Amino acid sequence: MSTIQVKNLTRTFQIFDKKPGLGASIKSIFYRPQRTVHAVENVSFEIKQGELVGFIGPNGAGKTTTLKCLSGLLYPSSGNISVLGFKPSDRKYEYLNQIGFVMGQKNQLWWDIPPQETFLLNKAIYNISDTDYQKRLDFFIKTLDIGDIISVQTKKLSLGQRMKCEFVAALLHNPKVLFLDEPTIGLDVIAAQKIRDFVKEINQQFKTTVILTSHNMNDVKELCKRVILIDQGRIKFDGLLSNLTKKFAELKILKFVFENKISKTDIKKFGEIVDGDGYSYTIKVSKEKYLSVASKILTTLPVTDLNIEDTPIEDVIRQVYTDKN
Amino acid sequence: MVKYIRIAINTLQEYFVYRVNFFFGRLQVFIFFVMFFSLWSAVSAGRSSLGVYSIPQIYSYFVVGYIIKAFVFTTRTADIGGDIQNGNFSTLLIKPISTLKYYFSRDIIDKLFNLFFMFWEFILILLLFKPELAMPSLFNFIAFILFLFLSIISFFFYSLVISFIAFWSEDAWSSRFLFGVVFITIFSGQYIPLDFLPPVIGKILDYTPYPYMFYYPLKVWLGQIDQNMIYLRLLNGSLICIFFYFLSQFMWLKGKQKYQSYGN
Repeated sequence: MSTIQVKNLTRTFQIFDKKPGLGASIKSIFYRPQRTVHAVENVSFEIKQGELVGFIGPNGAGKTTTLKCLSGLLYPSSGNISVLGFKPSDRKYEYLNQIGFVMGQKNQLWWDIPPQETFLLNKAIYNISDTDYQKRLDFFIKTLDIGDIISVQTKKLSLGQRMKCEFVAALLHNPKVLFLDEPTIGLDVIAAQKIRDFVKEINQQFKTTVILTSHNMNDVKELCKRVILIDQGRIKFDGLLSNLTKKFAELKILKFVFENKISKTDIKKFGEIVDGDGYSYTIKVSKEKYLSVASKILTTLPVTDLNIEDTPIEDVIRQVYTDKN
Repeated sequence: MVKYIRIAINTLQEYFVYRVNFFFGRLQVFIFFVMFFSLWSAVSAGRSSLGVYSIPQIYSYFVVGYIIKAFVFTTRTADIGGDIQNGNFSTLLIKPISTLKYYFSRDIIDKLFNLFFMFWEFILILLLFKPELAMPSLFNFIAFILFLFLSIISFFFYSLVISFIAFWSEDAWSSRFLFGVVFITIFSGQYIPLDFLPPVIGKILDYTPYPYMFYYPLKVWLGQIDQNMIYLRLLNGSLICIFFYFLSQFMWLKGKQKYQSYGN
């Protein structure tokens, strides 16, 4: 049985569009025409226990709204959600005890006091035994290297340090389902990598079901085998990340290195040049033609090295976003 | 229960972070009393009473009133409206805790904190100014404590109701200012005793919760309400408390369905 089942989920919001200017502001005191926006429309999917699924899409696609519906923060306008057998919007303690939510742009740590005080509070809230608490805290301190920061006031921590502590606060009770909304936003490459390694580790070690939204493709590439691509509130793709490329990528990337300097005009006729300095070129060629193009270049030009790659996932997703497919 | 004690402990720790705030907060109490006694000793010079109040009763009205203000009207529930509007309320909603008990734990520690320091300040002020205060009989003192308890609970639910308006309206602060500050300050008798106002206004205010949170407890302290009336006022106060409890629960049930969890 699936841990998460979502069937025909729709969530709408009432939006008021204000025209620019002071006059429009004064008018808006008396009259505010509302319109309904479908943040999520007829979304259905299932996630099994222990899966790590990436929820991707452009800004305003409906990713965070879906996560908020799954966690029980938002009531769905229509449709059914079941997580661990519970209806999230009921907000039953038995349900909330089994989920964790890390919001990249919201603090659950108490701002004025050190993170360890929030940890102790969560220990009490989730009724964690002394032994489990100490064991898990030790594990998190070691894995995230936060031993020297948990006693420093939260507001004095850097963003990366704070995010690590946010993870600890969300995971101390060993949730069965973890929602991650932009967990690496604003982090430098080292901190982001540390967070990714950590998510991977807890997913493997504790079989935690993880749903991740991120605009950082490295998060998705490194962590998620399966992705759900959502745009304008509707699911455009649900499957293995590798299949996303197969389904949507129309192009292949060919990288050549030559013995002599080759002019751009000689290369242009084979495909669109992405990069090149005369001695090496990277070109984009359609999936149907790339084999014949590679063969032609190999026979007509002095090639010393050839590399054929799929279109980078970022480009594929960008293509899907802009509806070029 | 343990979780709410821990919330109270964390709240207390927050207070100790801002040492300057803490110091100035206490200084403010002291300055208030210095000003109060200087002003009223000038106003009451050559008088033995003011309206229905003797001078010791006037002193008691404002001194005991100050304690009621610090104990009843300090609340962390005022933050809820803003938290609903900016989406920070979400961090609370995803935890298996009661929102009501969470804020009540914070309020209780807030009140105890105030009471602890106010006790020493009060002793100091009594020693310095040696004011003659009207003291209640044992019966009135017990009734006063009951009233105080009712006022705390009533105001807590009243304040929740004001904050929950933010589920429906984006103007969370204007309703807080009007109902939580202006109405409370004026209609509860904090500026002037309500019997200084025209009787018709006093009669209208009897049908509102405000006098029950400040004015009537003080009238009980001063012994200006007879025993039967005390019972009646206590009954009315209890009904007001129950009304605001149910109203806040209703608004919570409906409001959380309207909650939009703004921001990412």
